[in-house]
Amino acid sequence: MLEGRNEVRVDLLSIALKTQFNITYERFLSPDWSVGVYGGYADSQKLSDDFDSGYRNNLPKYEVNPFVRYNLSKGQRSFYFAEVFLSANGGEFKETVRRIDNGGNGYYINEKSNYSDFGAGAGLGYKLYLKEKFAIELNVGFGANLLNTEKSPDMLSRVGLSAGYRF
Amino acid sequence: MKKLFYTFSALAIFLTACDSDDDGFYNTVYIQAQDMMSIGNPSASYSVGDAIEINATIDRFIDEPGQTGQLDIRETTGADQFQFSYVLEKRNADGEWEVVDVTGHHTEVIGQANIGFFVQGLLDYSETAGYRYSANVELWQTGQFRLNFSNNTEHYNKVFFNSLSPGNNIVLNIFSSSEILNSSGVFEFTVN
Repeated sequence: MLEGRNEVRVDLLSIALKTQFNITYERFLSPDWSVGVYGGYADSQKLSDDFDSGYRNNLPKYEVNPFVRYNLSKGQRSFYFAEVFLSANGGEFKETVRRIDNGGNGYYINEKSNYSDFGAGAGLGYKLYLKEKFAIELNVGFGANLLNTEKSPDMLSRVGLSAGYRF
Repeated sequence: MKKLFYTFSALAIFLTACDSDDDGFYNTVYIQAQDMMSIGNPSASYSVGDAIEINATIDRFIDEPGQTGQLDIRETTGADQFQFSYVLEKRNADGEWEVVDVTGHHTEVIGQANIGFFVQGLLDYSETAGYRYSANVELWQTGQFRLNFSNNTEHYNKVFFNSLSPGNNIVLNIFSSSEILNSSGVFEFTVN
């Protein structure tokens, strides 16, 4: 097992594609097991424009994803891993509703509200260490929101290309 | 292991673009209506030099089946105009329908029209009259003709109106039946 038991990472792909600011902390419990938590906040102009224009009815804003990983290939400097994660996420939701005005006439209007939901999922990944300190990681996973699916996104995706530091 | 790496790299590319909320347009309301389009002087037969009067009327307040209170279209959309479209077609010697260019033979009385492959009619809004359109199509040739108002939806035999809503306002789509149209959404006539 590598000397450092802690790692901090930033997902560069999310920053580039979703304008999502994020950070991950991972704690290595043993050569095979690690746990961690991912936190992200999205601020994408394109997603906001699509939400306002009507091309999507929800706008994810934040997510906090604790995860557990298992080393599949037993190497320490480069290895494949499997991951199970939970997700606490939320954002804005918009729906078209019919209201009655003061004159008794109906009209349609888009009303916004906030949503929050919990989900779970799994994924696979590959990690490579340079000089036993600098991590490069590719991970792919997906899951589903479970409780508030009328408002929240149906599918959760965990796709990332991260750079990190182990200490 | 190499196969596994390539497999989930491809999956990564796929899932990056995957979003279950990419489908659909959420700023749209669909309603059904009746007789928003009419022919002012309907006949099975006309003479060269006659003109067919096409009228379209959308009141500001309309009945909405199954709903409480009339629907205020202006408050919903904020639109100054609605649009709809039609084409004039002539049956050729092979029995097929061909589009006829009405440029120079189309006169707008109320509202506006853009004339190209088809006529885009624009109903203008006024506080007193709602959304209105009226135009005359001069008949300058003999033959069998039809005015085709059909659209590429399941309501193909109805006239399709949609609001030109400003900004991110709701777009109201109206499918209106018209007693002057046959089951295919056309009005057929002969010019002698």
